[in-house]
Amino acid sequence: MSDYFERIERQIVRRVEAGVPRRSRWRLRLDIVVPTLGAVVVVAIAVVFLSVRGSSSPSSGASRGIELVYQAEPTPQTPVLTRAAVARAIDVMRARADARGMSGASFQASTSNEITVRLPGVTNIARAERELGQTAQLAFYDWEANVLTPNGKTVASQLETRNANALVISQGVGSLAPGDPGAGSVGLYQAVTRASKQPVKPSAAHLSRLGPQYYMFGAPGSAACAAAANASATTLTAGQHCLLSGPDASLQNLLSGLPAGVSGSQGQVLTVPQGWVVLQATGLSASQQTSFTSPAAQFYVLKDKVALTGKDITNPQQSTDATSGPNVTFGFTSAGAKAFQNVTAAIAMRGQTVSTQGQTLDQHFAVALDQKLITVPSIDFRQYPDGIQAAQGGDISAGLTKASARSLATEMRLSALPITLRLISTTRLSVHG
Amino acid sequence: MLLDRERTDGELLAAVAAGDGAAFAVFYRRHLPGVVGYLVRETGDREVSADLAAEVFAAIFLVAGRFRARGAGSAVPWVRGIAQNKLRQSRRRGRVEDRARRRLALEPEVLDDADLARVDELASAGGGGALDLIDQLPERQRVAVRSRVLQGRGYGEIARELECSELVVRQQVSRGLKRLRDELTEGER
Repeated sequence: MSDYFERIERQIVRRVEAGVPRRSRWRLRLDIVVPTLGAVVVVAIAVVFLSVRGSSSPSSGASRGIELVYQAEPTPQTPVLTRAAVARAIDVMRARADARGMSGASFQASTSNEITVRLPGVTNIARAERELGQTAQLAFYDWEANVLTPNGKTVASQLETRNANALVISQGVGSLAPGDPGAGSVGLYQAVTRASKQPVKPSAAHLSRLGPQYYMFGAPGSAACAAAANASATTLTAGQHCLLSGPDASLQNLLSGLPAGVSGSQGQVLTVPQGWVVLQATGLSASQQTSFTSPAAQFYVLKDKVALTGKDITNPQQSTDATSGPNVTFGFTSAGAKAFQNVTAAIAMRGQTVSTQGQTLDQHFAVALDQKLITVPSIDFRQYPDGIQAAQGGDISAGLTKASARSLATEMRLSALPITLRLISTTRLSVHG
Repeated sequence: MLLDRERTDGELLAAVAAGDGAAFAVFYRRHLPGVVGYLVRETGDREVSADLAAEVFAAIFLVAGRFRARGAGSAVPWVRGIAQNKLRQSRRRGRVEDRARRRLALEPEVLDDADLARVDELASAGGGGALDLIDQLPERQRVAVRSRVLQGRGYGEIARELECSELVVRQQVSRGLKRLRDELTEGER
């Protein structure tokens, strides 16, 4: 395998053979215009530059950290890039940086299609790139039909026999609703172990993810866990496996994401096969959000059979519900509306089947974004025996503040209209000596 | 026909300006240790040095046509000047310069632990005056250091050429680099 300097050499050699690139058209135009228009053009450039800046600007001065420059590229769904599309991408990246504790991160639309991200204190370029630049994945699941109990069977298949674990996951327990942490959830290591024992689903239909997903864990009390906790400034939980790296789509990325001082031989690799997903439990409230990598985070394992994706929804917006609480409203495409009615009809029918005169077991669907459950609402089979007509669209309101509703709407918009963000430059911000 | 190693820096840069990728590769390997050694000494940071070295060589390609050879045609002072400029600009802006790489649209490359070890190797070989001292090493150490550090060849390939084990090659490289460091340290006293 080639080293860094050989890769750099190859890249430059290719450019040498292709010839010196011409400067951009704008720069060439300025070369012609500057001598004659002088200060007028300078002022015009300043105005243009300011007008494309994002809402936050980078901090000045040298500090440890990295800078990433992404190039936004059009997609079949968004064939023409707009400033609004780039601004939405910035909103999502900012939310992700906040969620991952990248304090002081700044974002700037440096041109109409470039986004510059400065991350003070961050040194792992590969991980930052993965965590910020990937397009959000929104997925709707039939909850009981896909979520697994500890015995590896789906909840739906065990409701008629009133399996205790299945009932907790389906109906919640005490004040905990389905999908909450504590309502049948487990820690990440247990969830990934459970998922890793499932067979690969070869069919790509209705999947949110193609290919396997890799995790690496350290043993309880191991030096690797201590190093990982030190690197992430977190506290170890006694007797618990710790996440060293992942989730990643390739083993190479998994190894490159290991904390400093930890080698691949010190961890246990677990693979979630295609066809299965590990989803983090919902936050109990907007103020009680736990990061995916926190030792306190809780998870569920589901069959990855997606009923709808972000492509099936339209126009997600932050709004207010009937009680003036913040929510996110959205519409459906015609295919999405049909799929939504079908899945809610199936859920309602199952609710009717498993309920008895003395015990109503309403069933649920789940909305997940980037491997985290957002909400798990129930479908009242008596009110909607044929499923929910999607003409009026849908809404999500569980546990949202105005800010989180806005953030969710933004992420859903990006998911529905994906923009490809290609990393074109990485720079370390610290220069000593 | 001249062998690559016999071509002067001026000839190589003229060929680079004319689109000769192989000439760039020769020039790059010839000057990489010196550039990395200089940057490591100045910054004390291997990752920053690797990042900046890539920028320096991208810039060298962009201005290759401007090089005017003097004396024996060595480009060392010219390359050093570009490295100094890039370092100065980086310090002033508080971030590693990347203008040349962006202009060339180079893909970002991520460093791993093996790459950082390679920075150490290059820095050891490229410390001030070290290149001149390599020729004074015992033959097998000289060949091993040149092949591994300056030419970037794998240990297995060198071992086959020298008809010995990889372990022996590693020892020769290690001893050669240590000797260079000792010589340089002695020279600075």
